[in-house]
Amino acid sequence: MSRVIQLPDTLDENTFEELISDLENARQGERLLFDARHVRWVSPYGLIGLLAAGQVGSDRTGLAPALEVPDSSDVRSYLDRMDFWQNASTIYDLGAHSTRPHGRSDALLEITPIRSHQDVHHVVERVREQAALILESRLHYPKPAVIQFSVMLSEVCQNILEHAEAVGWVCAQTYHWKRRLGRDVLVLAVMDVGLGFQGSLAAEHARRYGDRWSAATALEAAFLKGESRFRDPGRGQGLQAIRKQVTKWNGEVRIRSGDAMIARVPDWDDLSPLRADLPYFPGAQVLIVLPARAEEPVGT
Amino acid sequence: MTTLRPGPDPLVSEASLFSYLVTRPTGRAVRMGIEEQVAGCEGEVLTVLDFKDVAVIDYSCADEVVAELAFIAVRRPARLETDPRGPRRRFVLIRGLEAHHQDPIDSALRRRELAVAAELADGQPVLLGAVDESEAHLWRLVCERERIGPEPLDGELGLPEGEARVRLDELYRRRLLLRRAGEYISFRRVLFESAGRRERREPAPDRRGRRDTDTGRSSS
Repeated sequence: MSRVIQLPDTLDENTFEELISDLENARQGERLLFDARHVRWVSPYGLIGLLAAGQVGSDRTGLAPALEVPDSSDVRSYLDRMDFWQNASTIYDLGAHSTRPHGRSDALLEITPIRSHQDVHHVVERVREQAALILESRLHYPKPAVIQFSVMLSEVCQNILEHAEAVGWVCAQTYHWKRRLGRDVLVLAVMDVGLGFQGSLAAEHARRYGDRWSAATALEAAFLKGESRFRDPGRGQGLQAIRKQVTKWNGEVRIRSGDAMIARVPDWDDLSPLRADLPYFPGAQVLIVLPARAEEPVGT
Repeated sequence: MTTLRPGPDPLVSEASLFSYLVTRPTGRAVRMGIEEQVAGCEGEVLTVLDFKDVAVIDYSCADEVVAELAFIAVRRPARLETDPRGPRRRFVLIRGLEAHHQDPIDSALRRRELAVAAELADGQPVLLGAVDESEAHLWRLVCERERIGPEPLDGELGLPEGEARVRLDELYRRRLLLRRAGEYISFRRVLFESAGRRERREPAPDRRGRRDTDTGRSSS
């Protein structure tokens, strides 16, 4: 038995639900084929979303899924430059497809697996120089912003290690959002397919919430109240700090976990701040969008 | 790197922190190194955390290093106070603090209702963490004068004697200053005196800049 999962032509945070909805019915022993032939555009969220979906497909069926490569040479080239195939090879059965040698991408951060705290160090130290350039020259943020961005990156990656108990990925890229915002944006995506917020916080908080305990209440507890799976009062600061910083920069942060999603919605978007009706997907999927400052800073 | 400066009161332990202080395990390792250095020390120890070379500190690391050290100083008196070798009290001072270090450290301390004394890179004293304005005001007065008491304090701080001492004792309980025989001493004064003692103890360097001994100093 095999099942074809048709990928949307645009693979990003808005089409992720479409990508995973077919996964819900995947059965043990069923062979999945992710058909990416018609994909024309991929965002960081879409890139690592495809890894996450493949991993979940593999976990559910017990078989490595197959992946039909995109027809578009631009998309294939982008996937090469973002180290997609290297990371996909541990999840997908890629058949004869091999990674071609490629130069460095213009991304802030190519797909990077997060398996240990050393990986977090590596990511934070690696992006610093380029992040400084992007935040200052493209987003017009003040100089200290690079440090605050590094802190945010560190905390969001540590979230995988502290709560997921599984491998995760991080990826970041800058764009010019002409239609949506008319400004440059930095997009950071971080995902894992581990315990998820509901599972991670359950032992410490589920009893208190009783029947109301769900992925949505777990997300509210962590994102809005700073609650953690640990009793230690020093824990749970990371997401709070990210929310505070993203708010300061008028950015967006959305966290999807289980069947729910919570977001800090800026004035330039009309996303729902809380949803609890999504297809179930394990782990946590985080998207952070930092827009360029609306006006040029005085004196520059 | 950690350096111990010996002295009767108190011992000063200096820890130069570095570069990227990110992730909990890194913070834990740094703190354990600092704790290990003073583990066997009797009496009072002032741990000076030098942030001059810290490029980034995240919230997790701030919690593991600064908030944990502050917690040990304030919240575990029983074990330390009943040590057969005498009361063992711990104090923490941050030096070389830059604006970008402040939020993670302040936030980590506030979550545990703790506070820590600090000096900005320009030497200005500041309190980080859970402190109210009247506490901060009183603490700044002690910092300005470097030491206050043991002479009567009536009117000295704009407070009646009894109330002034109660509030200063509270700052001492929170390990934000030192107290000795009715006198309250700022950490800067402690460092100044410790440096003076060290100078007196160490022989002058020879023509090649070497000293004969380096007694009592250890580093890791």
